[in-house]
Amino acid sequence: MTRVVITGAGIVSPIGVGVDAYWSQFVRGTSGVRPTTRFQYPGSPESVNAAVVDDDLSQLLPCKDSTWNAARTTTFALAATKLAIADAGLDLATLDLRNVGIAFGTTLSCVSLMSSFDRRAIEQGPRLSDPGVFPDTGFSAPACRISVLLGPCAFNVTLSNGETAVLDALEYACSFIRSGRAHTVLVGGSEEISTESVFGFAETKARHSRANGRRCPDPQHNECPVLGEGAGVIVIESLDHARNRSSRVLAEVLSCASTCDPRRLHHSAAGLEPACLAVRNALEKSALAAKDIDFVCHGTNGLQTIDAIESRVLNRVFGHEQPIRSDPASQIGGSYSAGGAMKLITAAMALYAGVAPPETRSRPDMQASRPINSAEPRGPSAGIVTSLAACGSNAAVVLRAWDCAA
Amino acid sequence: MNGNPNDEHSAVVVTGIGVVSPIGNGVQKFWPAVLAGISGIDDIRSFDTSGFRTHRGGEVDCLGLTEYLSPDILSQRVGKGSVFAVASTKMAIADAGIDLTTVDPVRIGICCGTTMGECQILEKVDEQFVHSRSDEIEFEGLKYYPPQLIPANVALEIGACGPIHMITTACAAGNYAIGYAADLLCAGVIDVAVAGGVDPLSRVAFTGFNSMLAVSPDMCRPFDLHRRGILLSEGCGMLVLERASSAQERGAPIYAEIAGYGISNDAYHMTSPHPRAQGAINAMRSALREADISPNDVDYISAHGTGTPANDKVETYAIKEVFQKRAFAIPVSSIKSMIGHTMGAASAIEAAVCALAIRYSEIPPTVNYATPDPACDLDYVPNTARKVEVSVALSNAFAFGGNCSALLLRRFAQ
Repeated sequence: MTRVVITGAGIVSPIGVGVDAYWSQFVRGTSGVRPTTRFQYPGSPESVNAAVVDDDLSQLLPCKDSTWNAARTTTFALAATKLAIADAGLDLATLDLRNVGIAFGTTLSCVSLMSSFDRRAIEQGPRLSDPGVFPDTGFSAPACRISVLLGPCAFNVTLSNGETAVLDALEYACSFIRSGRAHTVLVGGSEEISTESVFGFAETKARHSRANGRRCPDPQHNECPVLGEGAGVIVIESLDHARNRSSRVLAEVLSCASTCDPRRLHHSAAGLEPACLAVRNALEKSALAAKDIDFVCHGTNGLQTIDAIESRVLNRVFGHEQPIRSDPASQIGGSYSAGGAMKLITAAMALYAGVAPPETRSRPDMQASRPINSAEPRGPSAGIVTSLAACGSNAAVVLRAWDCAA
Repeated sequence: MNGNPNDEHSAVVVTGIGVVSPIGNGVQKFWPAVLAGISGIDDIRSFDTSGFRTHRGGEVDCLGLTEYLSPDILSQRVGKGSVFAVASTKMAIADAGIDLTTVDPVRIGICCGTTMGECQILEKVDEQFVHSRSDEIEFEGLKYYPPQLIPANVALEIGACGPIHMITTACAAGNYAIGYAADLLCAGVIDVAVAGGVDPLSRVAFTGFNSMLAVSPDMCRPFDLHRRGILLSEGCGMLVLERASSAQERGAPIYAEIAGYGISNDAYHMTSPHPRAQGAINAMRSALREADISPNDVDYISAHGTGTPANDKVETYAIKEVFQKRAFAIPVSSIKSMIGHTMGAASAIEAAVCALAIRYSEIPPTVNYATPDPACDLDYVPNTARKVEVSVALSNAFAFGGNCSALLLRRFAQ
């Protein structure tokens, strides 16, 4: 079977833009959670979110006009893509772009732009609607903008699967590489904090607890997540293609798997088995045993119920051989679909740098295998990334450090 | 498509079809209506169109659709997209005659496509933002907006625990979903798939396409010289897909085989098709290559055929580029002339039409066709259905952002 490797990463996050900036802040345990008046919860003068500070990403965009109608989600996606392409050393001008695809995960996507487009039509009448805005309001707008501005055309898919969207997009992309439909794919995710996401989460009781100020809430008070935003993009290639261009490899993608437990959707009696099965299937397909995994990158949205299920799933699958665990959302907030991209980049960097990043959130039900809140000096050799979605979908991806696989 | 080239029975086949459309719900109503050229277009009733330039579109008769939902789901708030999708799915499962309780739940997958998802939920909140006091805004509704709730509700209703995907590649999404479901079956990840597309009529989409002057004020006339644009509509198409071996084992009727599919992107413009139809050509050629089917073997093309000046001209050009002289001998029709553009559901319903055309050897017409356009010079099956043997059918679907797709269905050799 065709082997697939990660050769580059780009990230726009609340703690840094670019993978080096992100990683250096991440291993220090820097938190991107800050009070802001930009996005407010109903009845609250300010909120605490993990927003991207550097709004001026224009120098990273493919052209000056590219943000003319773009939502923040699209701007983040374009910037992260440019960074990933540069990080991978890809020269798009010399590639046959009919073999380069895009697989993106975003769920709320450009909802804010869509909503403002709709409200303006309601307020001013539909005949005054700006025809230049509408095409950028769709779920697939961020991914399509990447193709339109940068040229990859093998395929362009957007998955809106909630918290698992990017891991699912990676599985989709790997299947396209393995079937010979593409040799390189830009896999990523992007989301923005918006009035709609803030209000939507607020009404689902996913409010940030203010119990401990700037940090992510501890589990005793964790009613929910700090919302985050940003984008992450990785470049994956067939091993042959990566070797032919003498590319550096961050990690190898060994396997992906997904299941769902739709009972979670309406909070009826959800079990652990479908989620356990996603993790076990990914392990089985990777030909690794649970004991071979020494690093888990998990957590997505910080919803207490989902976090609890995920913890129990990992406890059940790994038993007494608990690997090191890290939850990036504890530092950069829960960025919904984009969270999967953040975790993939975090895991790939951990494997590449040989450093397990810190776990800044503890949970009583988590069988921690090491002291928390500090970077782990022991380098992992194989890791698993997991995502569980509120709608019931579960996804797992197994990565392996490249020096172990070569 | 075949996961194992040495095993002809590992082909992926269509065994069940469910359709919700403006010209009838269920294959038994939809298929005779589409052959008869019945129009599902009328004045839009689900929202006020008085401020718009146009007023017509396609709407589904929802009477009876909620009967497909279980009490558990009905006790929850669900969007119209979920209602359409659950109803279509249950129709398809009944049509396939499959007892899903005999299938391991984690081996049942759902792949769904959409353009606007549950946009009507967002639209209601937007109206409240403009017209109501802040304490009257029902933010609660926003948690039902994310589109992945549609396949999740389908999974909940049929007891599926395998992969569920919501593919949001706009008006080509149904083809993407069916293609990926076939991939998952070929790879042995799942044993049964429910795949298709869904879109309720959206005021945002109606506003957007109207603002672009892309909506016809009266009727949709694909490939006609006087075509004036699309007519927005709503609906859902769901297919039950299985590997041929398991379908044959349980004696299931087989509509057609998913022979292959191709997807590509124009990488050109967010709304305009590539003037040389790059993505469309690549998608059709990829589908033919994957299916190992010669252009000479294609008997019918279900066109994207939106009725816009740009699409129909470019699609005609693309078909001629791919099929060369043979293009003039292949019947090409667009059911959007009857049901309007059902957005993310369109290609799923059109895939169903291809499967039905193969089963019943009859091709639906392109209605409202009166004046030939020199730039659109193929056989568009004008105004009257045609009885013709269809062994291989190609379904095109193109979308905003340059996403292009082509799905090939073939008569399954029992």
